[in-house]
Amino acid sequence: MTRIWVTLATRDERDWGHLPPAEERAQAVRAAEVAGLEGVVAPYDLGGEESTVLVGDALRHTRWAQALHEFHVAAFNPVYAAKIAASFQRFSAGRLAWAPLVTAPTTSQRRPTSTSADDWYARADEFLTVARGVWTQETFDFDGTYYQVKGGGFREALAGLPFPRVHLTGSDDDALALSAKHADVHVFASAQEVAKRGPLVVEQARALGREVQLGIRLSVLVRESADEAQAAADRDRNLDLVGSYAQVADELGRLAAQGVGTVILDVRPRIEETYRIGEHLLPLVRTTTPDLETTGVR
Amino acid sequence: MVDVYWRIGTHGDQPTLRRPLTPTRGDWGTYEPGTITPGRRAGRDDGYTYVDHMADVAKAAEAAGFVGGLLPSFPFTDDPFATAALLARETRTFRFMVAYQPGFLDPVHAARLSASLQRATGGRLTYNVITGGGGPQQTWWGDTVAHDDRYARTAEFLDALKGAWGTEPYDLDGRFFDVRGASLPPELAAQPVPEVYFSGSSPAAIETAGRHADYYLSWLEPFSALPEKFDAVRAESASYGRTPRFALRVEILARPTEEEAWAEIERAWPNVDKAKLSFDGKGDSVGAARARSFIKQPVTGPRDLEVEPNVWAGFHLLRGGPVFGLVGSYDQVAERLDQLVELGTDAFILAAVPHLEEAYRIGGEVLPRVSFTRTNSLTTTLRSAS
Repeated sequence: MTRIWVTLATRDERDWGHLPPAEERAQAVRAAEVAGLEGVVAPYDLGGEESTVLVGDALRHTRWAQALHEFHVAAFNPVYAAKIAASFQRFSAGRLAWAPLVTAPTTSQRRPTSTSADDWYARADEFLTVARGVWTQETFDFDGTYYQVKGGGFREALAGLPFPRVHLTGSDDDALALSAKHADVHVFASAQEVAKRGPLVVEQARALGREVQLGIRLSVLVRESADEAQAAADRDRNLDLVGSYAQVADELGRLAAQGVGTVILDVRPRIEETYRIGEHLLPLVRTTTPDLETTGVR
Repeated sequence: MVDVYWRIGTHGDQPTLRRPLTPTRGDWGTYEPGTITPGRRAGRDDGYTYVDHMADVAKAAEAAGFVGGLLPSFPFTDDPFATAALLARETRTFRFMVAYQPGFLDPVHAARLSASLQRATGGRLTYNVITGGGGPQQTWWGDTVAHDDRYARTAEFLDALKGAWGTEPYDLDGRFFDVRGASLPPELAAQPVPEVYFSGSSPAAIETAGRHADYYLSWLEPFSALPEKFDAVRAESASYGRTPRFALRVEILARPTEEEAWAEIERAWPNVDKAKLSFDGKGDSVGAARARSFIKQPVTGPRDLEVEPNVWAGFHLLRGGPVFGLVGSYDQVAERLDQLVELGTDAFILAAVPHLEEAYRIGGEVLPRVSFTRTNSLTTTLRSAS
């Protein structure tokens, strides 16, 4: 089973120094929706549009597509991040997913500051513990280095919502350890990383009594034939995967056999290529469709 | 020009004041037949969520001639930033007044989020900056910073947010935040910084407001008490070379005649929780403690809470929120709003229950009767029926 997502533009595809036209982004969201993909990824990009705004807009104008909210753990305190997420879940019948970033660049943070990767992973561990804690417990206390909560916990209309599926990234030991403890999906940057580090994160999670699924982020170009794909790719940027619909579907099948259930595709131009994936690639890939009846949202 | 805002409940809404604290809009009350957004249809969830109702209130406020609406933020409400992000493309002139506490966001990320919302809405974001009352509610949010320090943090946050809102790298080695080389991409930096409606009444609050408030926002209080409050902010602002503007959040119960307005309260009175009449400050209303000084005990009926003509100190008994509001005929309420402008009020946040229907009533009946000049008045599209 494979969940296929596409990333949204935070900048203009044709001119990286500018922001994307709003209507074009709205159409890219609609493309993922009608093409039957799992959802759209709103990326964290310091030099582009802000992802919370993209997520809200995407959820309002879709019925099925999920929205994966990528944000830096420095951006919000964890209670407030969870509060925003709770509204997104309520307004969308549970179609929000989370991708908190730990070591991505940020130009600001609140004190006490994190100065090393170790610090950032320690902060992220606290962040995710607090966010899930206030979400799932009606009374929650926490006394950490970075965050303190007393008498916390979501009640009333905020109680009982599904916590967003957590997607984490990275390939070093700290990243895998954080995922083993907190992630639902660990998203790697290449097939090599999946092969090398995938089994390890799954095993570490199992040791904690948890299950982590694997994911991958790929830039792809697909056409009816391998020749056509290659000809188009020659004019394009560096791509992870180029081939016919059948070839790319086979590759996704091989990844699925290694446990990769989540595939985040970067395709350009987004609207046209999202339609192409929905109409030609998706039928060849064993996918899941979100079952809203089982999300637990009223 | 006076900006007149409406309010959107982020904690559900009740259909009437006659049955206090019984919300049926949104999912904060009992979930049974008669509830709206979400509702039930053929025994199943009808697929609507509370944001659908908020969208309707926003559209009503826009059609009724309000410049926008306040989206309040408390622990068990929906989140104003999330709501504004969803509804950005569904209105044309409605300004989203987003309430938030600066301690809960990073200032540079807040700048980028806000500038993206400005771009998505055509510059229709306004801030209601709140710094929090402390106690259990602050630690619920994960905030353990002491009261006066929180105001210092609010000031530093707004310094950093405004500093980063440009294309030149901005640094701040602050007490609360560490900012290094922050900026926005050019098209976001070109967006306007939202106007700040600033809440808080302590000396620390007024000091911070003097530095950062475009509008100093206060609950309605008896008219006799307002000039003193305004003067204190004016004096503090003068030391920063700023001239503050004043905004009032005013609850309204207006009917064609005075008798009809009070009759609504008389009908609700048997259902109110009489324990709240002691105004002992233990209730959930922030204005309750201050309200006590204006009320002559014992309170035996609703008119005992009319502390000045048409100024009623009992709204917290009928719905969650502040104590004071105006009760009267359309003419009386309009006249009182005029007097508030004469006292120095530059902007209003008006509200009445239920927010959807009352947006049309207040926009159609009360606003056409005021004599001050309003911003973006669209009332010609909504002619008074009377």
